[in-house]
Amino acid sequence: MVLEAFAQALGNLTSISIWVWLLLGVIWGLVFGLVPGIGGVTAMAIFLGVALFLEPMQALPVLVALMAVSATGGSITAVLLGIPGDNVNVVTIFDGFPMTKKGEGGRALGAALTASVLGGVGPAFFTLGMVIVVLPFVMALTSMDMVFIILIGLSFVVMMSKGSMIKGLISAGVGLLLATIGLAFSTGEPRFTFGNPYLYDGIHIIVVAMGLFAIPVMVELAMKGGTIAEAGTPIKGMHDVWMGAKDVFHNWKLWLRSSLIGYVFGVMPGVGVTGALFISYGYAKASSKHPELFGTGVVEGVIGPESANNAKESGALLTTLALGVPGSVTGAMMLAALIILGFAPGPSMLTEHLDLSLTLLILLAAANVIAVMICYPLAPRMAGIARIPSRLLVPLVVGMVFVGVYVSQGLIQDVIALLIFSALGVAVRHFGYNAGALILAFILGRLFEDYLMIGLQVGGPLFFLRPISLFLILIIITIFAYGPLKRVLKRRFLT
Amino acid sequence: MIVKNMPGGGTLVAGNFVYSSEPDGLTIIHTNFGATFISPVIFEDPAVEFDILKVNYIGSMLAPPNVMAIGSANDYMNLEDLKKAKGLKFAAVQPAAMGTIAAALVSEFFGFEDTKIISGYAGSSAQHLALGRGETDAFVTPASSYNIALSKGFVKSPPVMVFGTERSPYFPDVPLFSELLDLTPEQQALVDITNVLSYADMIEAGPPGIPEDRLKFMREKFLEINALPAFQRITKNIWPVWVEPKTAEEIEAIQKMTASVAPEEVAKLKELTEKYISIIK
Repeated sequence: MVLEAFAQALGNLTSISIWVWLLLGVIWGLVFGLVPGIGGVTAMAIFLGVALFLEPMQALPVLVALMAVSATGGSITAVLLGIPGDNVNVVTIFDGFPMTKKGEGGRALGAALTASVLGGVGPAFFTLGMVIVVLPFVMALTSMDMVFIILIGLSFVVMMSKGSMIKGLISAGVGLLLATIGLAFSTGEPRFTFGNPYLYDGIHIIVVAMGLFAIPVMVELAMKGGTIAEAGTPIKGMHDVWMGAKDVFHNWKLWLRSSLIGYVFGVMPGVGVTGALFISYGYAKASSKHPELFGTGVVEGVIGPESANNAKESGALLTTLALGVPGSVTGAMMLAALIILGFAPGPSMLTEHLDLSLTLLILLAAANVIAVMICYPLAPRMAGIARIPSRLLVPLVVGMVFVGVYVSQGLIQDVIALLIFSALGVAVRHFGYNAGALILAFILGRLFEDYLMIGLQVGGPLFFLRPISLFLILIIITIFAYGPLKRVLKRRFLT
Repeated sequence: MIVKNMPGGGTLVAGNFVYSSEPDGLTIIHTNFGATFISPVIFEDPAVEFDILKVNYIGSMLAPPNVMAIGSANDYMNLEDLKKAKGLKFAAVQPAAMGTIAAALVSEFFGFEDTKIISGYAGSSAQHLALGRGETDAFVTPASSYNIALSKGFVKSPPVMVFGTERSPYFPDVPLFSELLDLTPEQQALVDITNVLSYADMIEAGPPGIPEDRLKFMREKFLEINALPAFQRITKNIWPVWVEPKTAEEIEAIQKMTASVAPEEVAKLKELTEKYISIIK
């Protein structure tokens, strides 16, 4: 049956029209990904209205392409401008942008693009083989276990805290506090909303990401003057880009493990894929010979999150198709599209419509390849952005950020909130606090609370006494104990 | 035509925006009837800035009934099994949701023992997963969500009961909640509120003050569009059973009922619901 479905899938792919629609989707996804604040979710939402009037094999290639490549577009701005295209690109900034400042923007881009395509292609091909393992794993997890999965993500605040641990923890505390704004799901109580329905759903993540990362970078650039790349640093062309690509192959273990992290998080519905990016970054740092250099512009700091970023979409697509439960926000859009187009995501997608599922997974991989084929030749020119004078770049980028934030929900309140968070972002940067820890805690804090409340309701105060939960608690203890234990053992064996 | 997605406040941002917009007939909201124009009003959400009796309704469509369904990961097959069970868990989104209130009424009126309503699932997908995993045992949800859960294999067929004032043509053999019990007048009053809350139609409405001729035109065209076979074919992807759309007059009658719901009865309903939500107790 599988072979037959595979043969049918290959037959589907002989249609030229599918590839034309896929190419359109890739270009659209890259462009939307490049504009800060818009991203793949907005692109998919806009396209859904058009999808109603198309045949499934016209609409689905576009949607798969948008799902696959919008993160790639966003990583370009993250590397070159220090501005996340979407919240999933935040982590790439930590080392990608410093690389650009050092004149290594081309190398960072080469690494980001290569890690993206390999992260997107590899998992897509083993996804179907993993169904036997993955689906029972997803069904075995409960809300009680999710509490500890989120906590694993939150524990990476420790990894994010370069320099002052206290400031890192304070930043995370502020993030947790901001995450409480809005209606509490479990009790329906409004918190810090001041009767304003805009705040009922909490602060929009795009506002936080742009306010903490995009605007402060531009403010700093405006005050410093000059260009992003430090004066005197050469910007090499294609040679730099290929060097970045080779870096990914040299660090193939990092790529593989980060892709796995991204894939596993993508498969797990409701866990928030951004956590995977922070974890893969934290893993890259922990496994590096020079963790102290992370944050100053090391290529491993780009490879880790970029591999995870694209790998997560394969996992998310699998759970969307096979369980009808989206593993990411883009997965949720895909779910809506499948329903609109007359498909019923669920077990039938792995039986009756297995050929379609295979087709979509192959197209997901292909979209990643096409995106990178478009971006590679342009990468050296794009790296030249680092030489544009700030008096030209800053107004353009700031304008795009504000427009992008407004367009994401069509609410002027988002623009006002962006101003407030920009001030916060500038303060965080100026006083040496940790924007990465803040946003990580903001994203995961709400999820942690929601799952904790459900866990307590379902299992009582001892809800964690489950094999999976206890195993996850062990991982958390290991994360915290690893560093100190390593130091103690080192001292004991060296003395 | 500009379609603007306006999230926020559980549709209240959009509701308030349209209510205060220019009454020229060019700004219309398309939203969930209950979520925007019923539930926040009954529960006196302070963010509501509109008067539901002054809104100009155009029409509503796609009205799946709310149903109660049993999860696939347990051994309960019907209402009799549920009555004998102890410690049932209902999956719910939040305390003021129709599904939560209906679950509380069912538990109270049928005398389910030690029932808990697990509040806080982030939407229907999360509820479906909880049922499929066995984390919860049952839920009350719009039938469109039930169908999706059924296609995933997370719930059993058929549903246990339907909520509303009349049987659904999609579940002709599934009894109404009110048919399964001899309700006292006090219980009936609470069920009446639940029936009002159960409207899950997609409604079109505009601000007060739209010129009569424009309003009449829109209402007529709404019904004409709903009668088009092509339109019905597309909407059947979302909800497979075509139900006649509600006219503006029918919606206005429902809203008169909404406005006349007594705060004391709502307070009783809230108290009853909170009895079963362990996170609030």
